[in-house]
Amino acid sequence: MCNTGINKIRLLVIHVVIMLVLTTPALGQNKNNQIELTAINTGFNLSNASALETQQVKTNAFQITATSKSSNNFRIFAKVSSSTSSTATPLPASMLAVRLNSVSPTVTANFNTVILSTSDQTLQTLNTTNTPITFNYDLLAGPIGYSYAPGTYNLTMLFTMTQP
Amino acid sequence: MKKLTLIAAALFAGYSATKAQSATASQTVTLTLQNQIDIAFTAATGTNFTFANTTDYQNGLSNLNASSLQVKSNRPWAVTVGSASANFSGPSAPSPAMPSTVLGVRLNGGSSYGALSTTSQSLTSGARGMSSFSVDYNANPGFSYDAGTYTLSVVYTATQQ
Repeated sequence: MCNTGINKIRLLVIHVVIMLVLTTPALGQNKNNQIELTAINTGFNLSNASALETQQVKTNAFQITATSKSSNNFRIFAKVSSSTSSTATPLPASMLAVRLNSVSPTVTANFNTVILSTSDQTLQTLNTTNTPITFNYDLLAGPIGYSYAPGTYNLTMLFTMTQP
Repeated sequence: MKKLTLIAAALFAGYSATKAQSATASQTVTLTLQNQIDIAFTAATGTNFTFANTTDYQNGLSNLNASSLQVKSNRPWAVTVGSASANFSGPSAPSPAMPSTVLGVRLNGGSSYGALSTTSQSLTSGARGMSSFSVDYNANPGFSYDAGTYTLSVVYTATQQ
């Protein structure tokens, strides 16, 4: 009776260990990823012809603070997860783009403009520093043109931080 | 045995929850588009008429594609045309005043000219976006006016529908 109980516990432990061993490679070394987004100025009011015809830029529109404590590199992706409007036609995701304005502390980062889409676009690939890295991003919209009816358009940007 | 498997799965689930693979954050961007419309000349090469002989006076003169305009609007639009004044400005009395109706306008290729007056007349319309069109002018003063230079301002008005 006592041996049967011990055997069951052994079996349980074996099950758990096997599952953990099989799972570890898929999860990678990402004990402590954290991404924090602070929006400062992400609203556009296009009230004249020039605003419709030229790309609008909000400098330092939002801030991303990423913290990764494992000994590996990490990536930050962005995509438009939803687009809605008060009119019949939502704006395409490609109407939005982001561009790194500054980063602190100083690291080698991607300062190129990244046009967003509905699938993840890589913003940054960096080595873990074990300290928070703050990215200040410019937000670019348009040019919208005259093909979209007057109204309010909302696009939700989703930022994802992952490790390999 | 089944119980053990369930317990193991529960432990595994707990382990997975503590090992999140990624972190996410989201932000909504709002674009507010206000009504916008604009009309501008892109060409105006046919706005001068020179009456050089009696045939010109008798038949009048036409300038096809006299002016081209572009409308930019984020709503459906319509354009009207009229004259800024009831008469041309030109030689003073005793020459009679030349009325604006001496000048006619039509959408390029249209069937007939509409005589211009200070009351605007419909010219064309379109859907939202950027659109271009051209107009033809016809001037037919006859023999009623002194020789000289006469000018008239023609006003195009674009309105969102």
